[in-house]
Parts: sequence; structure tokens; C-alpha cells
Amino acid sequence: MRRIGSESLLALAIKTLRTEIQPVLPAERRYELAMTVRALEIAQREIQAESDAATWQLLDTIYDDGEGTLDMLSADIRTGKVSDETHPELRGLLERFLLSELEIRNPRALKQRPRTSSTVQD
Amino acid sequence: MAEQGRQRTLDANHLEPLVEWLNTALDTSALTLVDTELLGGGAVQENWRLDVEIATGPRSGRHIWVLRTDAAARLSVSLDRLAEAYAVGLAFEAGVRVPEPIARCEDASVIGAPFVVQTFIEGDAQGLRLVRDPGIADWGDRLAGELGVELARIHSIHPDGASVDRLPRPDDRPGRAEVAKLRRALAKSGEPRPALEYILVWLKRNAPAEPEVLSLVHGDFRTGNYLVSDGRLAGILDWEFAHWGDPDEDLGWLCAACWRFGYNDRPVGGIAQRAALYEAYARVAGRAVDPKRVHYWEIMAAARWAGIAVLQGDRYRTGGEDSIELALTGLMASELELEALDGLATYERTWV
Repeated sequence: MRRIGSESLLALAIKTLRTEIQPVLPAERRYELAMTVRALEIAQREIQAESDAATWQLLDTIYDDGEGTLDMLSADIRTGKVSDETHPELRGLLERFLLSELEIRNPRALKQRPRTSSTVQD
Repeated sequence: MAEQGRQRTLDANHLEPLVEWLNTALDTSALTLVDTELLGGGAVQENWRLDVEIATGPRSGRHIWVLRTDAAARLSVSLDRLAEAYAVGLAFEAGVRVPEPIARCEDASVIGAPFVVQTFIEGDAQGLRLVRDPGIADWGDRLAGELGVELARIHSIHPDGASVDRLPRPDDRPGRAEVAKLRRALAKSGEPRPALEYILVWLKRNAPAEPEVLSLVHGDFRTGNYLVSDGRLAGILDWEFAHWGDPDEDLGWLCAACWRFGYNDRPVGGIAQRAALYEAYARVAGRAVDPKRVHYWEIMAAARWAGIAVLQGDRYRTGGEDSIELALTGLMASELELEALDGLATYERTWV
């Protein structure tokens, strides 16, 4: 039996917009529809995501008292209180944080990311 | 998209003041406005196509012009139309392919804001359509060469005593000045972006030395801001971010990954290889392109775009604008920050 809840309703809404609405929409409104579908897909992935593991890993590594926030980290990086020198693992943690954001916000961007980072000679 | 219902500066139902002003400015009484059409202009500018007929005099005949004015939501970091017109005028005098200036009006009472009128250039500036054109294999490199020539001409313009204060200029090394500008713009944002802060620290620390002399910098030279007609460059548009600065900033912006529309195998704006751009640029500029400096500015491009994405998202988050496009744009910061992080890692592997 399928449960009628946030996940299934979102999936239904996306499907309805794509299969029922998009084909009959005037061309000049299709961009708005595409953005609407995209927003719903992001909401769907956010609900399905298991946890903010990457965020907590980032903050708990930098702030071992468990009281860190993203606001605090941003300010501390800006002032130099937190840096590559104080935390050599910082760049890797920030990268993992961004990857976890992108799994929700735009997984396609992850697929398009070069396997080896491009060089200037590309 | 949100074009319908948006308040316009020019009232297309009340054009008499504009016609009167044009007649006075062009020293004629024979100018009539045959037709007007709103063109795509984005959020900060408003562009109108003017079909004009002049019955007598040296400009007699039918003309197609463009009226450019400020939209209501002009970004605080972009030039107003008159400052932009100044930059376009400099470029026109230097032989850069830009619309020819026709008239400029500083009086906001004529249509509701200052405006400029310039010639209309036929062509297509739609970036996604351009990079997907099946003919690009034939003319992409040639087009990149034309872009290189135009950029070299733009960068041959240097400030002097009369012009230096007419456009923004950096008060530090251009890279550091750009970081400071981004920080000022982001200071009011409540959205914490630790990765962007990290990138800005890196960009400040690794800013290249000042160029020997500042140049005119277009500031938004990318695919989508130049017109193409039959595979040839027709004109350079959208000078609202022009300033005095480091010319490599323009090369970096044009080659930045975020402006390739996904065509990473064509690093020059999604249309061509670097050699085509660099060789043409060097030939006209009289100096070889420094790929390390361009690489830096490509990273800066991603950071700048990430900052813009945050600010656009803030218009939804705290600005009260219920726009799905603004909300989604705000989320783009993540992929742009990742692009910048990848870029600085590659920079260190390549140059350090």
C-alpha cells in the first residue's frame, strides 16, 4: 500500500506537472514550470536526505565543544581564526559540505564536475 | 518569465516626451517614432527597440535604435546608464565593435530615468543557443579570435586625468579590491557561506601583482553578452560593469567554467579552445596572455558569481520578493563555490 504523505505527494505533483501540464502550456510559460518542477525536486530530495552529516562533521571537527554554527565558522574563516594553518583538513571538509549540499540542490552539477579538476591547458 | 506585469520605466503609451526630447537632442523636428518593442534586459536594465523615421536632414531615413535605461531593481554594483554610455563611447572611439552612441539624456523627467540611445545591431546573443549551434565546429575558433581582437582593443584604453574618475577603479591590487568589493556586498547577507569565505581568503592572499597600467575592463565579457550573426561577431553588449582594472579579469571571466553552459571541452565561453582566443589577443595587444593570471581570474569569476547568487537569494530570504527564480538562484552558490574550490586546487597544482 502506498502511503499518502509528503514524499508521495511531491512525486505526484512533479509527475502531474510534467505529464499533464507541460504539454499544454504555452511556450512562454515553460520556463516558470521548469523552475517550479526543479523547486519541488529539491524539496523531494531534502525530505529523502538522511541527515546533515557533512554539516555536523564540518562543525564538530572545527568546534569540539559541539557549539559551532555555520555563522560562527564563516566569521572565523573571514578573520583567520580558522584557516588551513589551524585546521589542515578544512578545505576537504568544506568540499564534502558542498558536495552534500549539491546532492540535494543540483545532483546534475556533481555529474558534470570534471573527474580530474581541469587545468589551465584545457 | 516575470516580465508580465513588471513596472517599466518607459511608458509605451506615453511616448510624446521621448519624441520631443529626441527631436531637440538631434536638432530636428522631423523625427517620428514608428514602433517600440521591449527587448530582454534582465533585472537591472530596460531595453527598448525604437523604429524611428526622420523625414529630412542629415539623418533622414529609417533607423533602428535601442533605448537603454535603468530598471527599478538596479544592482548596487552596476553602473547607471550614463556611466555605461561613457564606457561604450570610449570603446566606440577605439574601434571596438559596439553600438554607436546616438544620444544620452541625463534628465530623469523625460521618461522616468536617464537613458541612452544607440544603434541596434542585428545578431543573436542567446548563449545557450550559440553553444549548441551545430556550426560551432566550423566557426567557433574564428569567433574566439574575433573576441580576442575586440578584448585587446578594449584593453588598449587606459585612464588619464580626465577619465580616471569617470569609472570605478581599484584602490588596491585589482584582485584584493575585488575581494573587498565582494565582502562589502555580502556584509549585509545573513546567509553563512563558509566555503565562500575560505575562497575569498585564498583570492586575497594569491592576488597577482597590479598590471603595469590599468585598462578599461568590460567586467561582464562572456557568451551571452556579445552578438553573433552568421557565425561572426557583430557587437559587444552590456557594459554596465565596466571599470578600470586588470585586463586579465576579462579573459578569466570569458573562460570561467561557470560561463561555458556545460561545454567544458570548449573553455572559451563554451565555443572554442584557448589558443584561438589567446593568439588573436596577443597579436593585437602586443603581449602574450599570462595563463596563470587568467586562471586566478577564472577562480574569481566563480567566487563573484557565488556572491551574486547569495545576494539574489537574499532578495527572497529577507527582501520579501516571492520569486521562485530568486530562491533557486540563491541555491546556486553551492556549485559555484565548488567550482572555485576545484579551481584553486588546480591552480596550486599547476603554478605553485
